[in-house]
Amino acid sequence: MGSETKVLTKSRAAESVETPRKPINFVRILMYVILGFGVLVSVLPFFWMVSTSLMTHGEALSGAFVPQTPQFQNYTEAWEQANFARYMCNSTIISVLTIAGLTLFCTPAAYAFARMEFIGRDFLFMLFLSTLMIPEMVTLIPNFLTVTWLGRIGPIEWIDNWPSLTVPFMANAFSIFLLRQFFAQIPDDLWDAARIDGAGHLRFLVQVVLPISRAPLMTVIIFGFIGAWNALSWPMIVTNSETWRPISYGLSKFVTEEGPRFHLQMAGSVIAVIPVLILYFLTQKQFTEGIATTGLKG
Amino acid sequence: MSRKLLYTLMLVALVFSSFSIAAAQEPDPYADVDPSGTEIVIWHNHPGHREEWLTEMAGEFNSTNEWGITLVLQNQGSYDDIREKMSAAIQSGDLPNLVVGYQNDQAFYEQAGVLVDLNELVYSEKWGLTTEEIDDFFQAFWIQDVHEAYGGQRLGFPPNRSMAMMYYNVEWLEELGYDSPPKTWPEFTEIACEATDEEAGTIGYAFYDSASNLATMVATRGGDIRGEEAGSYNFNTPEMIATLQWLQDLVNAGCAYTPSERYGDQADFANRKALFTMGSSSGMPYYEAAIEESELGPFEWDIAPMPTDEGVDEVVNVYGASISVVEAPPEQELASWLFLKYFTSPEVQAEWDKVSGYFPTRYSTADYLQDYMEENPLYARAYELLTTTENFFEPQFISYAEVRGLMDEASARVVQGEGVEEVAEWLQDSAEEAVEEFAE
Repeated sequence: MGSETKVLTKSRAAESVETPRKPINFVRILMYVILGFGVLVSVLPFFWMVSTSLMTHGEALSGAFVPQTPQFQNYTEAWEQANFARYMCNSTIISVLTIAGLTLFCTPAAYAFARMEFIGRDFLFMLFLSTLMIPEMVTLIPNFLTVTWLGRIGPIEWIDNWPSLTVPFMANAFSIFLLRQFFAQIPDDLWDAARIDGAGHLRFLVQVVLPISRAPLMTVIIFGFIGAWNALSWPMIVTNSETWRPISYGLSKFVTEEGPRFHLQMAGSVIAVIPVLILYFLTQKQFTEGIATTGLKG
Repeated sequence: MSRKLLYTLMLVALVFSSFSIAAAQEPDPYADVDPSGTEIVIWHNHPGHREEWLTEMAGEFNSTNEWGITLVLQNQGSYDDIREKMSAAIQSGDLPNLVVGYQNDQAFYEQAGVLVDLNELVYSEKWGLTTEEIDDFFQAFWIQDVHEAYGGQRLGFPPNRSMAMMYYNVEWLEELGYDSPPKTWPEFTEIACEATDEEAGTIGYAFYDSASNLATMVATRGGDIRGEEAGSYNFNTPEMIATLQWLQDLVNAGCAYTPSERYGDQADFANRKALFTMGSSSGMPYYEAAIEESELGPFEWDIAPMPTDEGVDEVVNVYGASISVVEAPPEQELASWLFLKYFTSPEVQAEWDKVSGYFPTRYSTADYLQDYMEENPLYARAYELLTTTENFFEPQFISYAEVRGLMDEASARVVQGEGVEEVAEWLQDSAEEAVEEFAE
C-alpha cells in the first residue's frame, strides 16, 4: 500500500513536470474580480435587509452589521402590526388580475404591430412607444379622473375597488414593445405554413406564436408582477380604506415623520419580497431567455 | 418683518375678521342647519397605536354625540400622500369632509376654493365656542390657521402641536464640565467642539437638513424668514447669513456633520456618538426607545430650547398639522365642526396627547395631563418650554412646501463648502421664483 502511494505520487509529480503550465489568464481573473464585486453590490442590500430584520430596535438604529441575538419575533410582530395578512391577500389578487390582463391585452397588440400590415402601423407604434417617456406623476390625475368617471357610469365601483387597481395596468407600452420584438423575429415560413393549413391570424397567434413565446411572456409576467406588487403611489390615490390596500402600504406604516422602526420594516420587507423571489426562481430560465431574445440585452 | 409685528398684524386681521362677522349682523348661516344623522369622512395620516386610539375615539364620538353623526376615519398615508390625493380629489370632486394638513397645504387647497372659513362656525352663536373657550387656546396656535392672504379666513383648527428643540446628553455634558445646556450659540459651538474626538469617533452636533431647524436658528438670532410683503420671504438677511456661516464653520472645524441615513442623528445620539441633535418634540418617544436599546446602555438625556444670540429671548418654533373642513352641504360642514369641537375638548385632547406625544393646544388640557406629566418628566419639561418661551411659527404661504425644499438644499450647499452669501442670494431668488409660480 505504502509503495503504491509512493509510485502514484511519483507518477503524478512526473505528469506535472511533463504538462506545460497554463499561463495565468489575467483578463479572466479581472473578469472574476469585477463579477465578484457585482455580486457583492447586488447581494449586500439583501443581506442588510435580512440582517436588520433580525435586530433589536437599538441595533437597527446603531447601524450594526449583524444582530447579536436574532430577533425572529420581529416577523410575527411586523405581520400583526401592519395587518399583513390582508395586504398580502390584496396584493396577490391585484397582481394576478393585472398580469392576466397584461398578457391578454398586450399579446394581440404586440402581434398586430409585429405581423399585421395596416396603414400607419409604424407611426402608431412609435406614438405608443413615446408614452414610455411620460413620467408616471404626469398621468396620475388624468388616470384618476378616468377611473372616477368609469365608476360613475359603470355598474361597479372603481374607486376603493379592484378595477381601479388593475385595469389601468393591463396594457403598457413596455410589454407590447418587448413582445413585439420577439414576434417580429418569428420566421415568415411558419406563417406561410399556417396559412397553407388554413389558419388565420388568431389561430396562428394561439397555436404557433404563443407556444414558442414562453420566454418573453414570462418576462412580461415578471415585470408586471413586480410592478403591481410594489405599487404604492397609485393605490394610495384610488383607495380610501384598508379593503384593497396593497402590501407596500403596510411597509410604509413602519416609518413616520418622527422616527423609524427599521427592524420591523425590514422584517416586513423580507415577507413582502418572498413571493417575488419564488416567482423569479420558478421562471428564471424563461426570464433570462426572454431578456436575451427580445433585444433588451445590451 | 419682525415676528411681533407680524403677530400684531395677524391679531388685527383676526379681530377685524371676527368683528366683521359680528358687525355685519348677518344671520348665522348654520343657525337652522340640522346635522342629525350625517356621515362625515376624515382623511388623516396617523398609523399604528395612534390610529387604534383614533378608531376608539371615533367609536366613542359616534355612539355619544346627540345628533347621531357618524365619523368615518380614513388613513391616507403620509402628509405628502394626502396632499397628492387632495390634488386629484379636487379635480374629481370626491373630497372628504375633514382633512389633516399643514398651513401651506390649507393655502394650496383654498386656492382651489374647497375649504370652509371656520370663523363662521367658531363664532356661531348656536354652535361656536364661548369667549372663555377661545381664550383657552394658546394664542400662537389660535392664530396659526388664520390666513392673511385669504382675507383672514380660518382654514384649519389645531388639535395638537409639536416644537423644534435641542436634545442633549446630560451625562456627557457633565463629563465635559457643564451643568446646563448651552444658552447661546457661541457656548454651543464651544461645547460641541469639546465633545468632538476623532479617535473616539464622537462629534458635537449631528444635524440633518431641515427647513424647520433653519427657520428656528434664524429666529434665535432675532431674524425672520418672512418678507415685508404678504406671502414673501426674506432670506438674504444678516441673521440667515450668520446662521449659514455658523453651520459651515462648525462643519469645517469638524464639530458637526450630517449623517448619511435618515434618522441617523437619532441613532448617533442614542449611541453616544453625538452630543447634540435638533429635532421635533414628537420624536421624543423614538429617542427614548433608541436610547433604551442603545449598545452602550441607557443614559440620562434632556431637551432644551435652541440656543440664542446674546440679547435674544428664548424662542421655540411650534408647528403641527391642523384639521380643515372641506366645502360640502351645510349639515356636513356643521357635523365636521361639531366633531372638531369634540376632538379639541380638553378631556379628549389630553387622551390624544398621551397617545401621540403631541402637545395640547389649550391651557386647560394640562389639567388632565398632570399624572401623565409626572410619569413623563421630559414631556412636562417640554410643555413648560411651550408656556415659558416665545412661540413662533413658520410661514403659512402656499409656496412654503417648495421653499422648504430650497432651504434644505441651502444648508446642504453651505455644508459642502459653497459661499454663504451666494447661497443666501440663491435661496432668496429661488424663493421669489416659487412665490411667483404659485401666484400665477
